[in-house]
Amino acid sequence: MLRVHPAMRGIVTVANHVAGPADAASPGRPHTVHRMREHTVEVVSDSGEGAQKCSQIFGAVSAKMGNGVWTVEIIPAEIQPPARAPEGASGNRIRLGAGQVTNWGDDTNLVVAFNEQVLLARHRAGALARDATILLEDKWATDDDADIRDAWLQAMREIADVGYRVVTVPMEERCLTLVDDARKGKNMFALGMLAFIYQRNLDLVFEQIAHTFRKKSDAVYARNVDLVRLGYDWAGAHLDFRIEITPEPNDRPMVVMNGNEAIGMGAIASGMELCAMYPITPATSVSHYLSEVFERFGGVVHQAEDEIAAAGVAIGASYAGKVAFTITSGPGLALKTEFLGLAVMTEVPLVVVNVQRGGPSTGLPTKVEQSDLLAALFAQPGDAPRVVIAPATIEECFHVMTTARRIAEAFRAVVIVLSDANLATGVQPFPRPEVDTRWHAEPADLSAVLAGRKPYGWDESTGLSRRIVPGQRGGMHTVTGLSHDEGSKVAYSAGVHGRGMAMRSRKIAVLSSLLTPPTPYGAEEGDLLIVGWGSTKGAIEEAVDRARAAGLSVASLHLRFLSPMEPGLTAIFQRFRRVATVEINYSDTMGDPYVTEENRRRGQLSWLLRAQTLVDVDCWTRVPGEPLRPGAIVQAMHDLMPPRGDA
Amino acid sequence: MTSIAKPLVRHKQSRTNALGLTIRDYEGGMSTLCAGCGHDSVTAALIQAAWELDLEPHRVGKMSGIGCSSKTTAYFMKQSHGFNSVHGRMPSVTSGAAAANRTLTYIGISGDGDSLSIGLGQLSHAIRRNVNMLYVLENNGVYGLTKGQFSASADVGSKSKKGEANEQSPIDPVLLALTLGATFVARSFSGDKKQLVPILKAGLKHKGFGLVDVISPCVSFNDHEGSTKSYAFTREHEVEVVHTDFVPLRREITMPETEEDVAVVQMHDGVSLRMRSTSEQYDPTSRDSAYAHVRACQARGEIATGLLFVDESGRDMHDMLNTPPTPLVEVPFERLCPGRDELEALMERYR
Ligand SMILES: Cc1ncc(C[n+]2csc(CCOP(=O)(O)OP(=O)(O)O)c2C)c(N)n1
Ligand code: SF4
Ligand SMILES: [Mg+2]
Repeated sequence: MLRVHPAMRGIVTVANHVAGPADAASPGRPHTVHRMREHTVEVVSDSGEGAQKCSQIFGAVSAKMGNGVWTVEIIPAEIQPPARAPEGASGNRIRLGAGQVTNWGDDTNLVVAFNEQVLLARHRAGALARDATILLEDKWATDDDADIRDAWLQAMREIADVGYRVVTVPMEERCLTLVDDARKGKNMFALGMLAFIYQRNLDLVFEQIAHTFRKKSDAVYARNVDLVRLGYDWAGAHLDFRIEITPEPNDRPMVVMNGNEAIGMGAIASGMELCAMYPITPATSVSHYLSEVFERFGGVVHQAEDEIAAAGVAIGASYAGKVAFTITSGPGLALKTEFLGLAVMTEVPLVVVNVQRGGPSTGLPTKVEQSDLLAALFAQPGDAPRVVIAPATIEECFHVMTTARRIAEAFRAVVIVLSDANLATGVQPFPRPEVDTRWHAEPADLSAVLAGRKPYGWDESTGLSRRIVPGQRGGMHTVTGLSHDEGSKVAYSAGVHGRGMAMRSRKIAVLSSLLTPPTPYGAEEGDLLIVGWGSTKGAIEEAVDRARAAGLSVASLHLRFLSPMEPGLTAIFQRFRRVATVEINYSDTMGDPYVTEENRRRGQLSWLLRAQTLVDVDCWTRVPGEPLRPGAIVQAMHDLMPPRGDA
Repeated sequence: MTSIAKPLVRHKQSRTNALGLTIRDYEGGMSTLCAGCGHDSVTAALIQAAWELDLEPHRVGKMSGIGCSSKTTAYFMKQSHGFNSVHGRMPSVTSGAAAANRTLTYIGISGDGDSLSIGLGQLSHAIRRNVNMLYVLENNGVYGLTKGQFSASADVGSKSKKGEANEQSPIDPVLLALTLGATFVARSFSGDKKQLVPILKAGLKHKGFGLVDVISPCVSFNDHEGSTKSYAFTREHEVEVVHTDFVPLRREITMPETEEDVAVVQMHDGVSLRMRSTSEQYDPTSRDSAYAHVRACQARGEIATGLLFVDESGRDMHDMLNTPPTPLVEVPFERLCPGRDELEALMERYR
């Protein structure tokens, strides 16, 4: 039976509550079916109660049923946060759509919360729509512990006036009819409820459960299936609504994965075979994924003693003839910088994947930020030109690895791939990549080196040269981080130093000449151009759509190459009355104490763009520890609009 | 590295090794180190060892960090490949190179600063990982290149040129390596080529990480009275506790075991080591015995030298990583990229 706690009178609405045998659990009661183009759902629990598993399965099933999906993890910073504490809220937010979903959206419409404290966390974070429906475990209202009952009451008071629709659910009580430890079962019960509400295909749900728990016993599978049915039936018997999001037809085969898995798979597809790393959130799961599958292809995941050593190992492997990569996040990138300089100087191909998190220092380990852009371009003393690419979607996380490997190899360059926590943990379906032979890495050329060929036989106009690897006869030389000439001979003279510098920089210019100018989204010209990079693409473009629908003359431009910059930017910028970046990093707000136009700290991309184009590029940046919401960007667009008549 | 080309003069009668190469073919550029620097003697011993072992020059990777010692790679085997990396990080670069191409011979050259200060972590982990390489630590108790500051191997009481005594206790690479499970641990003296060459050869043939700590005096900053890393002090306090003969395959049959041999260690490709101990209790195949004796010598102010410990049964990095016998760099095209079918199979899971 659906129970309404006295403290919730006035909050809980129980429409259509049916009379009848309390537990006659057969769907088919009268339900209002709401047809939607999109809907956002969250499952939140204490850490360790499995909300993430529940929502991952739900997201994967939804994607398989043809819905657009974007999932974002809600991660507590600690591994074992206290139970029933707002700071311990753990789970996922899943935005479902009829068509492709490109970002996590604005607010959540439906929440399944395992206790009222984790619900409070989401409420306080402003994550929930004012009319959100909340399915809340009810056992805490009548807990033996007076403090818990009290906390429940206070929480109910705190959320009383918002307008949420709270439905209490006896999750624990129901689960205990099947299992001894409800903490281990509720998530599957919740999955069953969601499967009912969103009309998910139960066979697909069970298939996904079988996959998720493939390393567990059949008994675990059977128990989970029973729990899902229990939740499904409970929802059918007690809820008065269902939600229908009819997928748009799409006959392209799709795959569903998160950005880190995409990077791992992309690395395999690119023919890179050595990944050196030291565990760090949120990058680690790439190597977990790789160590599961890499060995089948003779690949190696080398867990080094720290990030410095990881960079050294990757450089060593590349030196010996591979193109190796290392994967890390902010603090690790900081440690790698000396080696980045060495790789640039010695022209050893190297791919560095940096899955950005909040910084500086330990910062926000589990949260998204885009604040390593300038570090990616410039961190390490000395002039060390390198390539920086930022994938904008999960699909791009896959393809960027081949691009990075090919550039690193052809240009004997360091390529830094800037992903972020949003892409790393977000799950999205994308068209299944069609294997392309151009991705393939050639094996190292170990044939004898012709007499006269130099280890840095720079082509005068491009700076490009063919590498010589150890084990090759002839062409023996010692690679060195000291300034050197074509023959790798150390020479301190200004001429030699300047020449090497020019050759290493020239390569980046050559790469830039091969890039096509980007195209703005929304319009070719207008009042306002928003420039973004990385994972914010979906949110920015959705904001453009909404703002244009509301009559704003706004467009956006999304950059993948940050070094070299994509060509043609100045010309594009000139077609707009104002240009501003939208980024997840810190900038001072004009009008704040002491902040002037001259000393203002700006968004990292806007700093770069100003320097490169001499256009007065403004910025709107935030560091909320979560992805940007399209609604907030629309608001920013309104604020950034140049006043009419200001030409 | 900075080096001056040496004129190549070939004497008709110079002896050649199995590859038809003379010892001069194993030389490098002219050293630019201070005249009398211990490191140059180590270089000479390395040349001798490589020549005697018939190492194919193009199949050798000379790896180093930064320091006077690390420059050594420029002064031997100019026909080999080399990588002067950054200060203290040679072990990781070598681990990576070894992971990508396990068939090359890697010779790492480092100093006490490079290995025991900035690079202590990387050295330790290369030992734990048992990277297949010879690791020569040219130990002079100072940072030579940056002009003579005490390094982490300076003994308590050892005096700097200015007369200050070091007070911090030293890191002994031999004890460290024994503790960390190294499978080949030796100490020698740059002034004792007869001892050093067979040790280097044994280290080159050892499967796994071979540490050779070589006391290699710095004539410019640490060869004065009061220093415990000077030529004079080392000569006086060196105690060879294990004498080693390196026995190549082709000579083995003709060399009968003698009564003095305490251990005959068979190495992986047929060569063997004959070890004679000057102390009755010393067993160079027992880690505990080695550790105890090195400690005892240290307590007496003696420098224990020789091939102090060897274990040929250890698992190296490749055994532990389970890497295929074909080096990664030679994996054929079809296997390198998993190909359409394999990739499709991988993606099937994400359908
Ligand atoms: C990151 C870094 N810090 C400091 C230096 C300066 N440095 C170069 S060599 C060296 C010490 C070398 O000592 P050691 O390894 O004992 O070699 P030696 O010159 O004594 O043979 C130092 C501190 C450097 N090159 N890089
Ligand atoms: S300073 Fe010392 S270590 Fe360096 S070359 Fe001179 S003697 Fe050798
Ligand atoms: Mg030294």
